[in-house]
Amino acid sequence: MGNLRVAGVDVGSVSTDAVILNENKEILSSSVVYSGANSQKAAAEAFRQALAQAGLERSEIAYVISTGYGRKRVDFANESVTEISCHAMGTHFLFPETRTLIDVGGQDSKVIHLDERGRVTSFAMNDKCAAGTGRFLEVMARALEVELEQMGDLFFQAEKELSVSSMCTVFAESEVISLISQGNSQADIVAGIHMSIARRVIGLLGKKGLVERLAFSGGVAKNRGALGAFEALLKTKIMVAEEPQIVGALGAALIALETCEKQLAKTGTIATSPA
Amino acid sequence: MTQDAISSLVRRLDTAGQTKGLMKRYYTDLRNSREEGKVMAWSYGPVPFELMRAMDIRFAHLESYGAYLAARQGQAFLKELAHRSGYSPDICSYARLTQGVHMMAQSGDTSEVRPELLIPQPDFLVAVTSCHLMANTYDFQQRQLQKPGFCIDVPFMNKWADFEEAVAHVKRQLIDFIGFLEEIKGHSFDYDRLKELMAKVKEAAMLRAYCIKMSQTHPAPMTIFDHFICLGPMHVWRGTNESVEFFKQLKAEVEYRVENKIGAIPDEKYRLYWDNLPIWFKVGRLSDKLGSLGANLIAGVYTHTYFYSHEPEKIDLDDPVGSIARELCWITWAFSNVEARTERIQKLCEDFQIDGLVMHSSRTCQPMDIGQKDMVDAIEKRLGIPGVVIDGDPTDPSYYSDAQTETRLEAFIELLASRRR
Repeated sequence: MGNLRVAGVDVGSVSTDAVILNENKEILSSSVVYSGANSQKAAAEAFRQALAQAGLERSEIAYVISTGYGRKRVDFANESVTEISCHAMGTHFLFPETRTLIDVGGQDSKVIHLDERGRVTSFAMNDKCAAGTGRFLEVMARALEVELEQMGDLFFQAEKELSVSSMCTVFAESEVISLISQGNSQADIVAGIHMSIARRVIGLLGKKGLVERLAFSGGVAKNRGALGAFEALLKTKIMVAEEPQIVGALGAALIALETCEKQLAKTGTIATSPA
Repeated sequence: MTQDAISSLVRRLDTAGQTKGLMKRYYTDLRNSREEGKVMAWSYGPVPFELMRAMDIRFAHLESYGAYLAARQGQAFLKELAHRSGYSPDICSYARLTQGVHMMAQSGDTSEVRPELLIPQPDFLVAVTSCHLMANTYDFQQRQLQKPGFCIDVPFMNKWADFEEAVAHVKRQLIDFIGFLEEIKGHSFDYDRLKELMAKVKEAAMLRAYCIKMSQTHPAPMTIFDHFICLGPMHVWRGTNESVEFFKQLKAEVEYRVENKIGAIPDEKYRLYWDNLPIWFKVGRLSDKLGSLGANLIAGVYTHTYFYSHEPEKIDLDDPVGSIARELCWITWAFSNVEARTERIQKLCEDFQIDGLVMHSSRTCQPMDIGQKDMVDAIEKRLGIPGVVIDGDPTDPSYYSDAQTETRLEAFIELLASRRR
């Protein structure tokens, strides 16, 4: 096979990430950039950074798969695959024992059930209500005047859990401001916020429920407080990648590799458009 | 693939295109009711049109009219009028459009609507309680208009053993409704005319059922979106020669496709089931989108269970009123009893060799959504067939997103593809 290299690009609402893999499934490089208003530019920039890191030219990448909401606007991609399949594939690669995956991103959250081969068997999504997404945490961090990065640490300093019950992110912000004015500590409020988001996402588990083992991906998985809230509510140890934000792009790259291997086995060449 | 390329994939039925002309005639007839000296009713829910047609009464189906108007003139002004009258945005979108129609008429200001799209005020109103929201809308409007009204109660049936009692209860009310119509018109009901009408209902329904059954072949000659478009002739037009002729033509076209192995989509890889009402404003786009992924939505509870789809050969022409009562009870049974609906879905999956379920979770029709996740679980346990839930609404685009829905559908097709690896 020689020097087969592939890439995955995940264009999300908050971040755009790229991963370059070789045929041994080794990550040669990865990058994370802010998506901003122009997803095409963000995709190109994420890819450029990943190429530079790996010391490679575009022509040396045999196949690129794009994923995420912006996947159809990535003009240098050979194919697009949904983030549901890509997150499942990426997580399965990192943690093959995963059977339930919780993915919380900037503007949606998902629960995906996978089998022992990393195939998606069912999924449920919340893309209608920001209260179960990273956006919720951003809004709350602003209301509390803390950095998003501090939220995780504050969760573990809580002495009691306050209830943040509003269905709507905007009204929850008012609720938080009210809790601040009542003299509650930042840590206690942060705990309430994280438990609220976790409860909302756990609702997506549905009848299938939690099938061990459980993994957590997406940008919000970087937040130790969110992880703590899920572990407390589900009473289980949850697996998180070192870089949870790039799991989708990693999955896309792995699918790209699988596609190339299949095509090479069948025809000896790699078609640059999907069949 | 470009949108244009996607749009040319699905083979549209020629016969389906005729519904446009039929619906235009239907609304023209409604509009001309006064000039032509015809009594006209506003109706809500699955009303027994046959009984009104037998008395030469014209009838507007308000839900359909609200959606029809919204499609041509936009929704915002109708919804705004409904909201101002106290209707929450979370209420059934059909009901809001219907209420908007009424409030517009009440205001006397119809300047937002082209005159040729308006319909006259009714001489009476009639509703069926199968849909509570529409029955409540009927109640409000009937009180405001102060015109005679009649409401037919179709009860919820907990178990199949309750069915015959429900039929008797509905039949009694239909006979009372006939008395009501006789008072309105000032002459007795023409039972012979009703028998003639029902014979046409039966003939058209059997032709339609045949066309539905033809999709059990591979590749299927129709998509469920074709069935949605072809509902008009079995809905407001049923009991007419036009309805029978329409389904004769549809049968011929479908038979031709089956004989020549012409599928509705060129490369049918996945056969899917659709739950709930259609998302009317996305029927074409979703059909094309799924077609581009090799997926054909072949069967659905709405089109394959209601509209006399179920055993039309058993319509008893010697008891037309009883037959209508049975149909009304069947609709409520199959729609509101979760176990019955699950059984129905299972049968459709088995008969049509379905690979996956697409459950349209309608934002504002909660009665249709109840139990959908349980149905998916039950079918997966019984038949090993997976399902996906998509969020939408029959007529309100503010509860729909192309990108979000299409991501879920694409992910579902990826899931189905991976099961075959």
